[in-house]
Amino acid sequence: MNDYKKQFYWWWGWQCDAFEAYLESMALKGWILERTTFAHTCLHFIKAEPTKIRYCVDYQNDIQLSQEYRHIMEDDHWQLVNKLSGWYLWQKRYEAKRPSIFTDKQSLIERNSRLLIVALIATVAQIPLAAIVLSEALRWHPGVRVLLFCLYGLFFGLVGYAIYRLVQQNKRLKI
Amino acid sequence: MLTHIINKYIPMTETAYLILLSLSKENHGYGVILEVEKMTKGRIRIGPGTIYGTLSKMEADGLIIAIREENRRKIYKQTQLAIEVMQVEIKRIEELYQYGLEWRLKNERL
Repeated sequence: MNDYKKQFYWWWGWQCDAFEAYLESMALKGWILERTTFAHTCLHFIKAEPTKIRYCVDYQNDIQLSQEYRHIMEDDHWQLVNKLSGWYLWQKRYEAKRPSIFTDKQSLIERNSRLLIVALIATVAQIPLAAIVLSEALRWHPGVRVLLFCLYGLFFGLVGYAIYRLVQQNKRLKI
Repeated sequence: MLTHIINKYIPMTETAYLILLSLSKENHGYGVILEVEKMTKGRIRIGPGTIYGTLSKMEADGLIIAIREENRRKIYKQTQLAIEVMQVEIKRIEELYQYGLEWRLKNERL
């Protein structure tokens, strides 16, 4: 029987709960997450005894892992699975009470707000660049022009949708 | 400064309240988790992500200060500003508690 499995799991910043629950369900089936690649979307599992493992996703503005952050997490027995551009995936084995790195709504709202700020900065920063490129593109080959418009449309559509979903999630958390 | 902080923190979340209470004594982040758990007899165990975020925010707002480092961990303590904010919050909770007692007396008579 194969004791190693690689699986692709696409998820967005507003779907942390579903991603965490998926990893936890895999651990309960005996597939323990070993590492992640490709922006936490390519998951590498190894076969072991079914175990209760809590996974938690965090987003911090510090791209470098802050010593203070690391110490608080590790002192509480959380292990870092992977980090990438501010995204941190933590895991902790448990027996009875299911732990979490966030224990109040305010912390989740703040995590979402950190993501929102990044999405807003990315959007605002792209606007002048998109305006220059697209105005220049009017003189280029129609095929290139259409491709550029589609790419920018896709980018702004995705970031806009991400902003909308994060705002909605924070509204629900504030109730 | 005090008005701004009062507007920002009051009414205080249970997490912020317990963290500030526990930081009347010097402690590091994980120590605060354990202290709050002990204080609440196990009812509340604050998550490390919540502790890190709340301590960072409180430090930036001047409610706590990192007085030194031990084993590369910051040791925090509450400031005079935190004491003033806590006085306001405790007074608010006292008032709420008083309303609760009055309500209970009325309802016990029914």
